[in-house]
Amino acid sequence: MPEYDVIIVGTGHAGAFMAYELGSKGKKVLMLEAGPATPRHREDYMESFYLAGFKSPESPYPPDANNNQPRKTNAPHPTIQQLVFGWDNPEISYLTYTPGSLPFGSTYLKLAGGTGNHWQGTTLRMSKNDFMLRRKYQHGLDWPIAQDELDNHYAKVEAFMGVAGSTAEQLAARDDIPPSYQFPMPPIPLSLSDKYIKARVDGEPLTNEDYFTGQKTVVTKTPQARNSVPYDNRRVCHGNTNCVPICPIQAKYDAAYALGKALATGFVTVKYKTVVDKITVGEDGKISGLHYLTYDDISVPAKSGQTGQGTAAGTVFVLAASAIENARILLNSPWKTGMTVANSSDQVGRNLMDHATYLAWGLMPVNAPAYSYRGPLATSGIESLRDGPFRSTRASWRLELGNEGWNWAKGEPYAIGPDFLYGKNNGGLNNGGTNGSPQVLGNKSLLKALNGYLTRQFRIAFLVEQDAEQSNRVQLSPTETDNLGIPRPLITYNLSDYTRKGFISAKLATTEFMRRVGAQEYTQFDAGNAKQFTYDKQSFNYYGAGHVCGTHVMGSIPHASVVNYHQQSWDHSNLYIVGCGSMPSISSQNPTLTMLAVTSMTVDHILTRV
Amino acid sequence: MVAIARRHVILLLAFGLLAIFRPDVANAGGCWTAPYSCHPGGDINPSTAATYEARYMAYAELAWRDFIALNFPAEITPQGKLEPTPSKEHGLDYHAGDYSAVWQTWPEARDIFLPGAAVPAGFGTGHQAPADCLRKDASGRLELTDKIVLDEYVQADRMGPVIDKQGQYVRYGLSFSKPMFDYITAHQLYSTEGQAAMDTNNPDRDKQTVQFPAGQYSANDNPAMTGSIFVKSSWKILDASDNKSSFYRSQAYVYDQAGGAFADEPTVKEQCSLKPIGLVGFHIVHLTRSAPQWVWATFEHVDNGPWLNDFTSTLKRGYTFFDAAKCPASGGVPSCAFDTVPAAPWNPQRPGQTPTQLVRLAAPGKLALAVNEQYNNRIKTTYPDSVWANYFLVDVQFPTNVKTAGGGQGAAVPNPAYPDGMPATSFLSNSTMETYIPGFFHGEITPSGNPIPPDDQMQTLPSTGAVMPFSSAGPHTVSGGADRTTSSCVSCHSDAAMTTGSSSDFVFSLSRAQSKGKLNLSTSSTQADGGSGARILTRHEASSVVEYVMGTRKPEEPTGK
Amino acid sequence: MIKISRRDVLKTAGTIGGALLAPGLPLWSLAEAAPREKAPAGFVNVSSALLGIDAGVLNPAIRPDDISMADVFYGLTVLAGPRSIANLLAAYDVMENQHLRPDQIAQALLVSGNGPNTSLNGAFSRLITLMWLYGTWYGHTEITNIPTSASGIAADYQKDFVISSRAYKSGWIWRVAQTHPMGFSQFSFGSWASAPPSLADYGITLA
Repeated sequence: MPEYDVIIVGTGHAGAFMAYELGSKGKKVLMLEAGPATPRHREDYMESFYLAGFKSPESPYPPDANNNQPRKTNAPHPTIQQLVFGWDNPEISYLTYTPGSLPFGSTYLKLAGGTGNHWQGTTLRMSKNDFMLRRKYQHGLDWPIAQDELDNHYAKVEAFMGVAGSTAEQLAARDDIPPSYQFPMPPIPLSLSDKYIKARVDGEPLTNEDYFTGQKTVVTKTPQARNSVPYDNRRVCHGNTNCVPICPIQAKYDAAYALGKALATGFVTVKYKTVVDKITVGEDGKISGLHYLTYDDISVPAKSGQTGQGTAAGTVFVLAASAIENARILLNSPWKTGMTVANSSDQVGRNLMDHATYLAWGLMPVNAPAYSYRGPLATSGIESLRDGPFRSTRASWRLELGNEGWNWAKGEPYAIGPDFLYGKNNGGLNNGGTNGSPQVLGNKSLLKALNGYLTRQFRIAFLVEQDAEQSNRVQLSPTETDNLGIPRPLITYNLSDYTRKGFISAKLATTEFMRRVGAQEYTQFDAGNAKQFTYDKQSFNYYGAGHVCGTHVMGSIPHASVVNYHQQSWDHSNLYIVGCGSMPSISSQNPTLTMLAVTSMTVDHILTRV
Repeated sequence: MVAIARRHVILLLAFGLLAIFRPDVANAGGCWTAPYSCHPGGDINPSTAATYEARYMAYAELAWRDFIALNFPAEITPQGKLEPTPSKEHGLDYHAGDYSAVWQTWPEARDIFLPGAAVPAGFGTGHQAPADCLRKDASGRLELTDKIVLDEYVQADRMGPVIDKQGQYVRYGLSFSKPMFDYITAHQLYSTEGQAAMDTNNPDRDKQTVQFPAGQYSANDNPAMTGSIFVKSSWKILDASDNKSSFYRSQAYVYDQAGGAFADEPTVKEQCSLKPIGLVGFHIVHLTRSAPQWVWATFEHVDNGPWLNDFTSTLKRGYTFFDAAKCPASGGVPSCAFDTVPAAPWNPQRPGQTPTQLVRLAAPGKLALAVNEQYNNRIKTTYPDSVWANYFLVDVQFPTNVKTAGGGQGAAVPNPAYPDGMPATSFLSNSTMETYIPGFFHGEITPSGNPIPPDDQMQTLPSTGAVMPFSSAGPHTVSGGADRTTSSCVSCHSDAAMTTGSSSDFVFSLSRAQSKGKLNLSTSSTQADGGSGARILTRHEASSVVEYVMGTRKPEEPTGK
Repeated sequence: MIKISRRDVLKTAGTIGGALLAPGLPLWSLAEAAPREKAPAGFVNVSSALLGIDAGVLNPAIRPDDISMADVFYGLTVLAGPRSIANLLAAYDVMENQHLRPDQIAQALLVSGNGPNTSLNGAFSRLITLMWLYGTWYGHTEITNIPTSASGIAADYQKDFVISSRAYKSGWIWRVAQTHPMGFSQFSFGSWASAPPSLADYGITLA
């Protein structure tokens, strides 16, 4: 009789939620976390963040995000620094690539709470047609479940996290949400710039494409896992404008908080710095154990490596280590001749997806400053144009209105100061001299330029759907390992024409958006950024949204998918592979909420078996 | 001295002018004799010089005066009931330090924010004893108790408990002064409905509609001008192994609510018992006209734990939360893991938990030490054996950037650009209440491997040598830390909100308000399972309870039974 | 927090100068706490001229923990380039005695022709301005833009680094933008729905 009912790999969003649900019901859970534990207190993360020169999503968290040596790090993970300074250099980049790949734009963490530490907190439900992408629009893959099967689970996880939202807003955004539903908390108020934009942008669609009759552009408040009232013993949002990478006061729900609740049940144990590298299969074809390596040193380069090893056994096994890492563990685990664990479908690692993001930015009119850099990173968006007949031709997008000025777009406000002192124009605004030349300013002239521009900066972001493609995949690098000797991921990544056409549409929508607002657009293609592609003679930069999906998709047919709709492996009945990796399509909504709703179904299923 | 008849004394008491006239009452003692005052201060003197030193010392002295005034013994009626006024006879050495202090008659947070948003009992009439700790009066009815009820043991922001050497958790209590209580009851802020009503014209919840009364300086400590004060006390449960005589002592119902005080500890079962307790820490928060972000002060008992600085000299004394035998000094530092968050689940009833090894990292600031010296000497001179000579001010936090409104007494308002007032002592923690966020000290590195820069550190100067909390000649600490999270009192409490989401004027407790909805009148003494929710008790005759009646039924009739 | 005891610090003292500082933090960040040298009036005044913000606002009399950011920044310039800062302050003195207006002084220190002043006075003027704006020392940025500045900046200080979280939180760029440092807001819930505080409340005037 195994000591544990459930073994869970990973303490991120899915793992922490599951551990809490299971522990609350008295089930004994062992969690294996590759990274370190939460430090004594949040102030430790905050100090790391404040001192970081490059305030990436990883900046508050260990290991040192500025020091990228994945070969010599015990549990390395991708970082934005790696992406910017050497995505295709295996010395620097944790992810390795096959020739001809585009860089994968998103990163993830390995530590208590997982990437759930730095997620933004946007919690939009997916709509009916999103689950039927292939059936309706002949692209991508279908889900084996329908949207309305998730209603109760959506409600459950929204209550668990604490979501601030308004059903009326969601219905105006054309969301499929029961009209009688009450969000746990009232919605987060629109920012000043949201309101100005809404008054001018609402109306007809932003492009001349094939929409449903009566479909409109509507700016709506974004439902988010961020406290608008005190909830679950956590504080109310105070607009630290820092959701990514870290909310200083945990007004934003994060998985580390859920992990604390799981531990409080008394039935959950966590082993940190414990890296599962192989799954062992018994003769009966069921999983017999998870082999792991332990280490102690998180510094870069590591001064010591493996300190021990072991095998964890339980009645049920759950991989919740995030999409790429789940695939990595599975691909590293031999099963039968020519086949690795859970991979009779050959779909493990395939269908890697992200939301390719199109960024556009501009200045508000002089008499209507945006006063950005305040409030949560985003409080509103245009969700009403996500779905429509056009999806037979081009990928869906949602439009997020940002509150952080040009921070994402141009690294502001860090660009403008040096620009006006060095007479440079990295930010794009220092061209007020003769013949558009840059100026050097000081004293009040400098203040006027800084205040004048910073208060008018704003940006919008289009999260463009990526459809599942077999060829976008995760394999194991034949040559590169981490410091524990485990092979690192080998990525093949590209953006389909379907997605690229989504960018074409986004660009047109932006032009119309800016026109309606009366804003001056400053979007500019950066040829020096490796995250770029060309389509229809136009060049685009794309960004990752942090939404690492696909890699172990769920389906209704065993040979075409890795798991069923309970996220249970078709091949091994006591193995569940959970997370955004199970999602066969991702539309344009941030995936965490749907992933957790599906995981809620998974927990229910597990509870019938332990 | 004007000869005053007893009747006039009572009248004068009613008008709160007693501070001006010393009563010509035989044996008047305690706070009624100089150099003490029976009432806390109202504010610093507005003519305090606008220098860092002068302001700092003035606020530190205000903290001490408040601390002393609040801790004088409460008056006891001939019937043995506690009154929320200071005793006319007894002083800081009363009953060798085992007595009920004035502030203990104040309502606790759990007395104000009741299940079903019931109207709280009148100020100073006693505390709601949980059904599990009930005491019945002679007629068999349930009764409010004079004892405080301590049901909290997890530190703010869910940082964790402190475990003493006997395996008991340190307990915390929150109490509110009359101006705060009156404000809350007048606006019905003890209910979500009352709070929502405050915010009718605040749809985005971005305005602060709650404004507690602020204290005002008066040369004679006029109690009508004290303003709002709330306190948080931390206690050790005393037993035979403790050196009791050094603590201020009282008795409390130590109560474990099923599932934890905030439903966060599902493994905790309900339990209650009356225990002797010793004070180990005390926060005083005082709203004054000069400090719209409030004045934050904290006191500790000298024996809580050694200072990190002390490990270069031989540890001379026994400590309450530190076992030197298990943690000898080695190379000038403790050889054990100290200030470590206890393992979950945090259940005070769970046996075998590892006691906290408490090491204090920050000494008081230089000027706090100077004021400590002054007040400690005064206590030792006027009450040679008083336990209060064993308490010191850790430090005080006050705003440095406010807008001074014109006219009158120059009441300040927050500067909208700097809502926290850019407080001085930026980082301040009590080792019993904010144990795990004491700030950064020299030699630490962040999770990402950065050494902590000097002006982010709690720098103790000099960095070695015994800390002497009552001597300005000893080492002192200059504050530092990442203060947006906690352990800047102001920074953390800036986040305090009502159930509506709007700012609650730095008072977190307002978020505990329940909805009037359905009132559960179950009195658990009549139910085997202990009931769920309300444990409303009655008061013999207070008009506030009559107000409380639901329909026509008086709450003293237990349902069922 | 990776908690190191003092004993550990001493044990690894040899490596602290190396690996731990790899991200580019200078040795002074490990210096024993010592009473800080006060910034001379000239430093505060030149800062005020460069930024266009009142000296009394940059360096108020009553401040948290009695720590003056002027002292912190001045101390850093002394470590990074003692002769450079001395020269800059001397040059400032001269201009002050000539009764030049602050904007004229800023112009003289920062601008040369149509571009930046490439002298060391220019370099340290920029570095000081950037410290006040961002709480960051931009040594690497300086020598990347103007390589000749390297001759006036000590090797350890030819890096970009955030000086301290206190310096980051005191950054004036956020106040000029009428907001708060990202990751450090004391504003209320919903504050983003209304207009921000005025520049005057921040202590800034544009005229």
